[in-house]
Amino acid sequence: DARPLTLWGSSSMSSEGGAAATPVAVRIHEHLALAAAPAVVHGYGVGATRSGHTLLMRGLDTPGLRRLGDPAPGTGAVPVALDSGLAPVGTLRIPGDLAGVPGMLDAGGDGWTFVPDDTARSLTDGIFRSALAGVAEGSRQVLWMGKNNILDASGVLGDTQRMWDAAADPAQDTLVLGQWPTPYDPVGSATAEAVDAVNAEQQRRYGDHFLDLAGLLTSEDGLCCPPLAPLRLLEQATTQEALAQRIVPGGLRAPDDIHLNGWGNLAVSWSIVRRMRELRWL
Amino acid sequence: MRRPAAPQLRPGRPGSPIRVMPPATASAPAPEPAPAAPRRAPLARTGRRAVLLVGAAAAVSGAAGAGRLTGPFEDVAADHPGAEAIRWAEETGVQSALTATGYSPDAVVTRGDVAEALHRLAGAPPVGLGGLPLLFTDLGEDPARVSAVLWLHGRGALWGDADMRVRPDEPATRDCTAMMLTALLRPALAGVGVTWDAAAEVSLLQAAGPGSALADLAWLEAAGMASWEPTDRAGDAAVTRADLAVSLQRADTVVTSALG
Repeated sequence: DARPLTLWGSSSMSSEGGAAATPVAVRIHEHLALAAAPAVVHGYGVGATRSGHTLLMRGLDTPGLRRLGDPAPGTGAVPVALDSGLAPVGTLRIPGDLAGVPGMLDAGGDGWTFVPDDTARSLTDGIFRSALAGVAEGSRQVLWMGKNNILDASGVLGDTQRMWDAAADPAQDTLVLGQWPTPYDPVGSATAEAVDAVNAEQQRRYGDHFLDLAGLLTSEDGLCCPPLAPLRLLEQATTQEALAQRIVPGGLRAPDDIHLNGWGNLAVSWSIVRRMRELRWL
Repeated sequence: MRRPAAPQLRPGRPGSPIRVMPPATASAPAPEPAPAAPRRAPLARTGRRAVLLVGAAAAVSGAAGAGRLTGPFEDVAADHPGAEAIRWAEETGVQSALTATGYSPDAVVTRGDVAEALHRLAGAPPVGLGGLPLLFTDLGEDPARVSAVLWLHGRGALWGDADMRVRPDEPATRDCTAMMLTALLRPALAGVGVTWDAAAEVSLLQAAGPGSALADLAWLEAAGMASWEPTDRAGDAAVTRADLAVSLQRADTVVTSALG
């Protein structure tokens, strides 16, 4: 039973920042692929996306698309608008079909476009369905979503719950990763409180299927986990300062301070693998 | 030799009793099996071990090295404390003799040796090396060793140092061996509802501080897998081939018992 594993989320799920600080880049999906082999691991973490974009990718939201203009010469890209109002972000590209015409929904450039696989085919307004829904069918999933819209705590909780409920066996097939506080989330700030609230509610809802990464990365025990032990982080004054501020230490943060570096990603990988083994996914 | 404490089976997990059983003392009889435990088809000893450690990629074929020489070895006396374990390790191929007549029980094992033995304990599941990204900086060229190290890492049981080196040729210490074995077995056994309570060691562990290997050493002792006496927790002591054989044979016994 080598069930596939699908990773959903934003830039953290894609291990942005993972090339920093470690001698070799650490990408979470690569370590999970090794752990899960021979099961296939699909990585769908896309930078800048919000929890609503994950629902679109997963095929749980099927918005109507309205054409805004003619196909671009050469590429055949047709500018479109989503009736859900979801804004295009980052480099998001979702394979799927528009009213039955296969193609790619692309958030790059100045707005949404849809590029049919066969540029000779004409498009009509209609429903967009992500082809990734088929990939997700029967797959276990790891969710690391919502940090980019964390102030909409109820939205993040609701979107995560929809992903959870869509699994083949909702109580068994999902692992939800918690959010971690950056220097931009100081204690008392709106984002810090939102992170705490979302983490607490998800811990309550999902129990063993929730991974408290904030706890891992801001506790003495967590900072001494096997992959981090050689760094001796607790002996560093900057680490103690970070712990006092209840933020993740700089030794685990990428230069942009909002992503984890290679060491942070290694700790997250360790935590995920250990929990997966306890859940008997591996 | 201390009898291991009976494992605690969490309610609601497969095979768990209706009541959580207290840890057994050294002289207590084994607990009665749970009346509501699910039926399981019997598996070969190797199959049970492989299922626990490998999961979806369970290797249920016979252990590697079947039919090899089983001793006696010129350098292992009949009354050697590890004689039975050494014979088991040779017969199963988990840690084979180095020559036709000698086992070298006192030879120190390397970290790579431990990784390979653990990999064989799990039935040596294949690791696809092609297309793998660079995960460590000193894996070397030996395919068997590389496979073992990467497999163990994939199980979350082997990590590099601050330079992301796994140092496979360095001598294995009691600490690092305990950490590898515990990291490999503890989550898997917890996943089937089998745990051991090292609560009696809490004060010692707290004094040792976070990140200490004492927690792993204590867990191995509680589970009956340690090849040393509880009073001798020298973490930097080297691990010999005999030590490793004893620990792995005990681990095999514990896993087999845990899976029923």
